[in-house]
Amino acid sequence: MLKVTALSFDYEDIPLLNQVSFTVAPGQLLHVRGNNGVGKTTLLKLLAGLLQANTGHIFWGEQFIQHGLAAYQQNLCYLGHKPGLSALLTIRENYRCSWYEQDKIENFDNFLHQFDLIKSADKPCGQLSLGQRRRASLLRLLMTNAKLWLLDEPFTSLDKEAIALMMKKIRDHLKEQGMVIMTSHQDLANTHFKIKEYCL
Amino acid sequence: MWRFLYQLAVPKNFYYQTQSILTALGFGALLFLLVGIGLGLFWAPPDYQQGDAFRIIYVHVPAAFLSLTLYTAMGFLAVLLLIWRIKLAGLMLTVVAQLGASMAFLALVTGSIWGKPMWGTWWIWDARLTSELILFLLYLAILATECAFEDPLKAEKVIAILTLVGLIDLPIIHYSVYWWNTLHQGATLSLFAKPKIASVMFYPLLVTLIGFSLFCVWVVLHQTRTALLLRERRQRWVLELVSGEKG
Amino acid sequence: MSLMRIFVKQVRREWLLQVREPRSVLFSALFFAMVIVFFPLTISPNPVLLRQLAPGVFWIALLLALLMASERLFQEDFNDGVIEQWLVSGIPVCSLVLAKLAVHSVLNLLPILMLSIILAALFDLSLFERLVVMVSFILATPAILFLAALSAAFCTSMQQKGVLIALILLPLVIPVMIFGSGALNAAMQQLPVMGYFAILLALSILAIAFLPFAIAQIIRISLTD
Repeated sequence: MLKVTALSFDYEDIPLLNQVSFTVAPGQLLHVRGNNGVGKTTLLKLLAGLLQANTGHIFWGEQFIQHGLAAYQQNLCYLGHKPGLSALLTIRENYRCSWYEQDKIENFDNFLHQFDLIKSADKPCGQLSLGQRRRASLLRLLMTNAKLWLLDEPFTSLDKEAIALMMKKIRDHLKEQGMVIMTSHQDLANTHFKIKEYCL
Repeated sequence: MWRFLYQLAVPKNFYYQTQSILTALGFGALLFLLVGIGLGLFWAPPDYQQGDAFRIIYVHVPAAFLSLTLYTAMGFLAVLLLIWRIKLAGLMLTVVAQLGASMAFLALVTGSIWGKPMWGTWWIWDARLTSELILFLLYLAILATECAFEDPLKAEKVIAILTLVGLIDLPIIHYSVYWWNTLHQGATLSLFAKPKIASVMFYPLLVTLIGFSLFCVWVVLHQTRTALLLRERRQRWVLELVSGEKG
Repeated sequence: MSLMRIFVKQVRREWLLQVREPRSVLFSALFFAMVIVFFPLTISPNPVLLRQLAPGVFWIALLLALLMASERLFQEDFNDGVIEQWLVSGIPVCSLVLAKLAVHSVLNLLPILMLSIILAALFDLSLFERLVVMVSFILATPAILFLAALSAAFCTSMQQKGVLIALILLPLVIPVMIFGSGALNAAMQQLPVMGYFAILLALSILAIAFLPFAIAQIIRISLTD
C-alpha cells in the first residue's frame, strides 16, 4: 500500500510538483498522465527515493519511506529512461553480474525467450537496436520479486508484439497483488484491468 | 540557549534578529581595526632584527588565523547541514567559503610582501606559507565545485562533504608539509619561527585580531541575510518586507 | 543476497568491463611513461640531476596517470543508467563503490609497476631503489585512486571535468605525495624507508575505510538529475 500526501517539489528553485496526493493499493495500476515537462518523471524519481521532496510524505504501509529508504527500495523496481545496462557487457553478463536471486538467474534463458532476446543475448548491449535494449532493460522486472513497479514510459521503442507482452506481464503482476505506477503517452483505456489515472 | 539557537535557524527569525546587532558589529569592527592598525603602525617600536617590516604581521597574522578558523567554521556548518539538515547552514557555507578564500589570499600576499625585504624573493617554501597555499587551493576547489552545480541545494550538500573531507585531511597535510620542510631545509632557522613576542607588539596584534574577527562576522551575517532574501523570495514575509519598504 | 556475494559480483562486473575495453588502462599507463620520458628531454640529461629529480618525476607521473584514469570511473555507468539502478536498489552504494575502486586500483597499478621497473633505468636507479619505488607505489595507489574517485564523483555529470578533478584532488593528495617521494629520497640517501611505508599504508587504509562512504553520499546527491 503506497500513500502519497501533499508532495511538493521544486526543480532548481522553480516549483514543479504542487500538493500531489494519491494512494495505490495492491493489485492497482496508477497511470500518471500529463503534458511534457509537467513532472511525471520527477514524480517517479521521488517515489523511487532518488530525489527528496520539499514538503509532503510518501508512506509505504505505515512507514515513512525516508525513515527506512533501503528497506523500502528493496520492494520496488524502477525503470527510467536510461537502460541501466552497461553497453560493453552482453545481456547475459549484465544480469549475471547483478544482485538478483539465484533461482531467477537460473531461469534467465526462459525470460530471454519470452522477450525474444535469445538470439541477441550474447551481443554487447551497445550493439543492440533501441527496441532490443528496451526489452533487455524490461527483463529486470522479471528478475526481481518487487511488489512495486515504477515504470517511466516503458513502451518507448517497442513494437506491437512487445507492447502486448508488456501488458500481459503487467496484468500478471497485478493479479499477484503487485502495484504498478507508470507514465506513458499511450492510452490504456481499453485494457482488461483496473486503472486509476492521475493527471499532473 | 539551545532553543534560541534552534529558533535562529528559521530564516525569518534569523533575518529579523540579526538586523539589530549588525550596525553594532560593523562599528565595533571598524573601531578595533582602526585602533589596532594605529597602534601597530605608530605606537609599537620597530623590531631590532626586522626594522619596520615586521608591522605587516598586524594584517598577516589575523588573516592567516581567520582563514583557518573560517575553515573550521565551515566544517561545523557542514555538519549542521548534513546531519541536522539546517538549510541556513548550507546558505552560510558559500558565504564563509568566499570570505575564507579571501583571507587566505590576503595571508599569502602579505606573507609574500613580508618576505621580499627579508630574503629578497617574493616566495619561499616555508612550511607555514606552503600550508597556507594548500589551504587556499582547498578553498578554490570548494568555490569551483560550488559554481559547477546548477542546483544550489545540491551544490551546498556537495561542498559540505568536500569541506569535511578537507577538514579531516587538513591536519595530515599540515603535518606532512612541516615534516617535508624540516627535511629539506635542514637546520636553517625559519624567519617565521615565533620568538617570544614583546607585549608592546602583542597588544596591537590582539586588537587587530579582534577587529578582523568582528569584520568577518559582520560580512558573513550581511551576505547571509542577502542570500536568504534571495533564496526565500517567494515566501510571504519577504514579499511583505520588500513591498513594505517600497510603500 | 549477502553483502559479500554482491561485492564479489560487482568485482566480476568491473573486471569484465575493464578487460573488455582495456583502452583506458593502457592510456593511463602510456601517460605515465610519457611524463617520465619527457622530463629528461625537457630539463637536462645530466645523470646526477636526474637522480635528484627521480622521486618527484615518478610520483608526479603516477598522480597524473591515476588522475587520467579516474575521469572515466563513473562516467559510463552514469550514462548507461547503471548508477541510477545502484541508487534504487536498496543496496549500500559504498560496497559497490569499494568493489569498483578495488578492481581499478589493481588494474591500473599493474602496467604502471611494470613500466616503472623499466623506466627506472632512465634515471639510473639501483635495484633496491627500484624495489622501493614499486613497494611505495603499491602502498600509495589506493590512497591516490580513492581520492581521485572522490574528486571524479563530484564532477561526473559535468563537461570539462578534468580541471575540476585536478583542483579538488591536488590539496587532498599532498600528504601521500610527500611521503611517497620521501621514501625514494630516503632510499637514495641510504636512510631507512620502513617509516615511510608505514605512513603510506596508514593513509591508504584510512582512504579505503572512509572514502567509500563519502563517495556514495556524493553520488547520491549529485548524480540524480
